[in-house]
Amino acid sequence: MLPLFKKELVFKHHWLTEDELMDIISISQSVPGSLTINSAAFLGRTMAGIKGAVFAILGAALAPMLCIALFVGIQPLIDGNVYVDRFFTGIRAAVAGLILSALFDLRRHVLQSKADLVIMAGSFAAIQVFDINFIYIIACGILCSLFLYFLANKNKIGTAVILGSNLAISAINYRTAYVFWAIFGLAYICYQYDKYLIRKRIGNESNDKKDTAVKAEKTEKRRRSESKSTKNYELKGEEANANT
Amino acid sequence: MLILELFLRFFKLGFISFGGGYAIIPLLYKEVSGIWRVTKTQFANLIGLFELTPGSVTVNAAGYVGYQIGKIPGAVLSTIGVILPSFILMLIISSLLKKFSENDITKEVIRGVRPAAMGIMCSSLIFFIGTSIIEAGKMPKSISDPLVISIPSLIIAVLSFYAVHKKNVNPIWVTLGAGALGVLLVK
Repeated sequence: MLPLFKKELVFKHHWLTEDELMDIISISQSVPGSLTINSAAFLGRTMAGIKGAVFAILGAALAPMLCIALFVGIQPLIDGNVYVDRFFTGIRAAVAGLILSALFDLRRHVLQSKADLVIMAGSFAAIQVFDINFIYIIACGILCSLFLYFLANKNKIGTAVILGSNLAISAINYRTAYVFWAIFGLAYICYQYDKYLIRKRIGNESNDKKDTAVKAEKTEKRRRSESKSTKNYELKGEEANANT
Repeated sequence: MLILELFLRFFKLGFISFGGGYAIIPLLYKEVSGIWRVTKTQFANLIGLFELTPGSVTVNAAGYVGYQIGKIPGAVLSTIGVILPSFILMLIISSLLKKFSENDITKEVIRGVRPAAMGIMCSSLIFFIGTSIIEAGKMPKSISDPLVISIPSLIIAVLSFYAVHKKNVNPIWVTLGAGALGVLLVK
């Protein structure tokens, strides 16, 4: 996708520089909706106002619509065919593989801490086991992330607001309450554990620094004594030379 | 009236379709099956088809389902419904671009949304495993039920994962190849 964008927008039409394109892509990825539609809206808006955004989106949505129209047209012809069924069975298996690959790709970018892993596992359990409405799941992810952010910045008001809104959501829908509080609790534990690890690492690093300093002193002393000894040796040698 | 409900359902989906098409398949199924009679296998077939057509899964699904329910007006309206949220959000964001990309809170919001979307993606993986590798309709309801695994599907899934993840083959070719393998292997 990206190379195509670059070729069309940057090199062919010179509408954008490469940096601007990267900005647009990164913002489009973080907003809901597909990348094509989002970047079309963004680009249209910045180039030709709201009218531009509308027409850019129309352009981006037209090709899929036409393809769907084509498929709807030929669907009566292929429905019930054994080979078509087998073809689709293969495709279904392939999509499972594609999703797994996408998950592996995302793992590197998204799961940066243990708390992220907790949010992921929690939302999976919420949708698969507890069958909770997805809006609550997304809300839980956002609230949990903000909760950790406020905790890290020692913003007591923010933390209280987040916990309060969590309570409110639990009151509205009691079934979400278990999952929400479980995710929050586990994320909090992860946060404290990470903090503990960081503290430990800092402590170790300062110890290491002391160690290295001591070692450096020792090696310096050794070097000096060695150089002294070599000097002595040389002197001795010179003396020896002089003597001979 | 049905068309209007369709519009609202897709409008709701448009707001939460984070992280590309895969992250919302279970949600899409839930919303669509509430208004249109479709089995899990049929729905999975459609998603596989949208993998081959240009455009994102959400937009394609909106067009297709809208057509099935309300013919052309339905298709147009549900597509608008799914696009409208990203249109509105992008208009707001492009006018306050600097504030958006440099604000810590928005960064944290995005950081929280992504793992949640990944969790939903795991669920869509389960959805597809349920409709392909564990053969459709034979999904075990309790632990004592036998688990029927379709070996050809398993082989195709592993091969396509290997091709995309390790060899960086274009997903469209992988999907087409998997379809061809399906014609050859599946009985």
